[in-house]
Amino acid sequence: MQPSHRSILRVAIAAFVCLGPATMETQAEDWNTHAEKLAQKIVAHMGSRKTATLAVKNLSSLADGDVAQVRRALRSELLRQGMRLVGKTRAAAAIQVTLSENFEGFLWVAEVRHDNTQDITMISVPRPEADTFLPKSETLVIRKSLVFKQEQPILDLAWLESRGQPVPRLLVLSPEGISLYSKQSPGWRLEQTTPLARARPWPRDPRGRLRVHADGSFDVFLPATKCVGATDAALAAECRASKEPWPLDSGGPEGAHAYFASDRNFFDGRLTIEGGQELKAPPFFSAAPIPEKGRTSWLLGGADGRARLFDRKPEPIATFEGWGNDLVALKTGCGGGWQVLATRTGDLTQTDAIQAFEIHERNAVAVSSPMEFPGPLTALWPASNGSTAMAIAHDLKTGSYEAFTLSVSCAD
Amino acid sequence: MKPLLCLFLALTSGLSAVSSTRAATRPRFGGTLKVELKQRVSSLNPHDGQGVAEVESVPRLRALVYDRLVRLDANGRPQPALALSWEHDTQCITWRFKLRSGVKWHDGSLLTPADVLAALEGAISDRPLHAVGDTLEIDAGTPWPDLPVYLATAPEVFIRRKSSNASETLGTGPFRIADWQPGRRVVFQANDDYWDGRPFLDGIEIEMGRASREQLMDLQVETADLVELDPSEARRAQQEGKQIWSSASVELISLRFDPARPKVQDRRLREAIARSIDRSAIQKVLLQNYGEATGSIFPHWLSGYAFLFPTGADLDQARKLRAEVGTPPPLKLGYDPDDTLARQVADRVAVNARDAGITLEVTPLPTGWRGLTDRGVDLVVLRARIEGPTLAEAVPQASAWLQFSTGSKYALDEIQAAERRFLGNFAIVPLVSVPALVGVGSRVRNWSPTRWGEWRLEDVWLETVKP
Repeated sequence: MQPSHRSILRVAIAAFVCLGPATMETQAEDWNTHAEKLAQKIVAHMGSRKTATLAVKNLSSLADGDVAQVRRALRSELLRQGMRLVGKTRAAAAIQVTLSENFEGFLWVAEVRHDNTQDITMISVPRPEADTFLPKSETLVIRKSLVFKQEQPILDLAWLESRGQPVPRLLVLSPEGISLYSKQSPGWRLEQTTPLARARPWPRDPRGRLRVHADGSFDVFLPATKCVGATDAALAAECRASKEPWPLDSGGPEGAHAYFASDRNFFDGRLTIEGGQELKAPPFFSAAPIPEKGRTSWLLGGADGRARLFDRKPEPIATFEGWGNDLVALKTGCGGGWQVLATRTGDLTQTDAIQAFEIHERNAVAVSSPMEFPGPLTALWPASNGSTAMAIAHDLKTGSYEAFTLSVSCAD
Repeated sequence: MKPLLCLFLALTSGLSAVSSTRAATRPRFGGTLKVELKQRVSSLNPHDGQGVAEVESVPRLRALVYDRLVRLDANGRPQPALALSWEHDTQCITWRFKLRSGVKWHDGSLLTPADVLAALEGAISDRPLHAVGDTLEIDAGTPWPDLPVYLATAPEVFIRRKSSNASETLGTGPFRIADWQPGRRVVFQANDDYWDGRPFLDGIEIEMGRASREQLMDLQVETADLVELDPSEARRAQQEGKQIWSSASVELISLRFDPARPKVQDRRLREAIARSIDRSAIQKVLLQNYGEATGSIFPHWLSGYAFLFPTGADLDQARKLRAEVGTPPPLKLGYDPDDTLARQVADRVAVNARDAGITLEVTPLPTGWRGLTDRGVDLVVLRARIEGPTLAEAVPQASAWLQFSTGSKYALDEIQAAERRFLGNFAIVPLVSVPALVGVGSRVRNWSPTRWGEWRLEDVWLETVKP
């Protein structure tokens, strides 16, 4: 039975109640610390004067709530350090604090005016990290769950089978190498990392695929390179130059694979589908199987920006425009049983979104609202179970790379 | 002598050495980007002494051909380039940079630590350098916590060497020069073996010395993909629906009084002129609302405290000061004859000064004025490139252009205090800070220059190109 919309909302609210206030408390402590520093500098400039007016102005991107907290913290610190904040007629000095900002962070500037002179002092305040928890009630059709994040690009990510391990473990594929993490709440602990040797420079827009086996061994598919590795005793990987095709691991027909161009970011168009049949299509970035009426067609996200549907013949049977280049197909049991998740058009300077479509009779129909991401999606791969996908987004605000598990749920 | 024990702290290691990944719509390989520049660049060699007009364009072209040890990300943070990682002692005096292996010069030969040493010898404030295995060691002499930022931005620290025929200079960058016509045209070709991945573009063609108006026309008829525009052309292009990219303010337009000219020795006269100027009108009308009126040297996005310097005109105070001075003789206000905007600013300043009872005769500067000690004018409209990307980097830029000094103090308080003292003399009067304006053609994708105006053409790709 699918969880109800209301129960999911309750969980989301409960999570926010648990996580949200703690995050806010930490920020308040930070403001207090910086307010104390600025207050000390102001008091130093006041000399023997003990009475002042205080005005706080905001020129920065701080939200109103934060400005109010800073104002309170500053007042409180000045009072604690022996100042008395009074009206204009009784004040020996006027303190004007401006919450400003520059490229590197916030800047709190205090102007202390007295006896026709003006002293200026300031402190730099680092910008707080973006919240990692975004309380929102998600639609039931596409669900995303943040699994992992790091500063370096992520090409792919896969869970390892538990095999008696006490905590979940993750393999993360990056251009620098492959890393093994174990769960250590609330985050992940890096256990080991091993570089992946390549004879050629990475192509611009590097892509890679990770395939994990039940025994803990894994394959890594990179442009013109294949690596095999193991995780049982210690993390190890050996790489060699290779033109071996990449699996399309979609949960669709066994053995579907495609050849990746050596120094580029796309598949060169050669595709082997069910029954070993070879298909030659224009170069494409991604591929998704579309089972319908006992047959499987292939939807290819073309390198020319068009998505084409192929049915075992070299000529496409349908062409779709207006999607981004990354597609996956998920087997959900909802609606027609399979949905295609497609990214939005745009480039790396823009945020991205995923939307679910169904392909019926060579027509694409949107069946979900777009699910937004904090930056462009840099990778979208189907999981081996065929019912979830892994999406990697580059958060434009923080610069970090975030891995999400995507799934599709039936609406009530 | 006691052995000197230094604690080396690993600062950065294993940071991303690969260009950022992309998607949504994946980039396409192929095509030639057509770029036009206002300036004429005669040489990419930093030792060939560029004219001021070339200062903006030369780093852009150099960055296509030459690499650095370090580069900055969009947030101004140092990232590995030819150096994979770096560490320093606790005082940030001795630095060690681990060099990337497998990098090739454009002639196919491998870059060696000795090559890097030779390229940087004398370029890092004449500090001693040593290559130890695959590590470059720099003795900064004094604490230098921002050395990586310096290596990422200073004009002389590119990695290059003479080719075997000594007529050209080799680089390791994403493009190589295919055709070079100094001051007129340059064609770049993609470096297939670039260590950070071959660029998406096959090539870049750059036409130099094109006036803003001509560049706008070329953008309109789509014979150019990237053009540099003056504010009036940029506004027109924007109204026509073209994409206009604007950097943060990276150039300061100011008035500079000649300290050797007797007529402007009286500080009150300089202040009177300063207080008469309506900066807001210059920004709204002449800059078409681009940039900002400013009373400070450093733009607000760099300092965060530009608001402390007033920008409003005070005609009453200007007249009062002028009255104290008496009736000043007419002063000569010079402008660069090749700079239309400078002429317009000079005219506007003269109008404002007249309202305060001061006569300024606007006159073009003589040919070769930059090299002259006596330019025959009492004050000039000056353009100064102050682009950061950090305040610490901006201070030496201000020093080079305006003779501003903090006396080697780089704390924010101290820079601000030094700026107040410097501007309090009214030898320099900041007027407006101006962004770089680029018209972007319809087929250009992934156009993502940095905030301070650094172009990243290796990341650009062109729509409608079939792979």
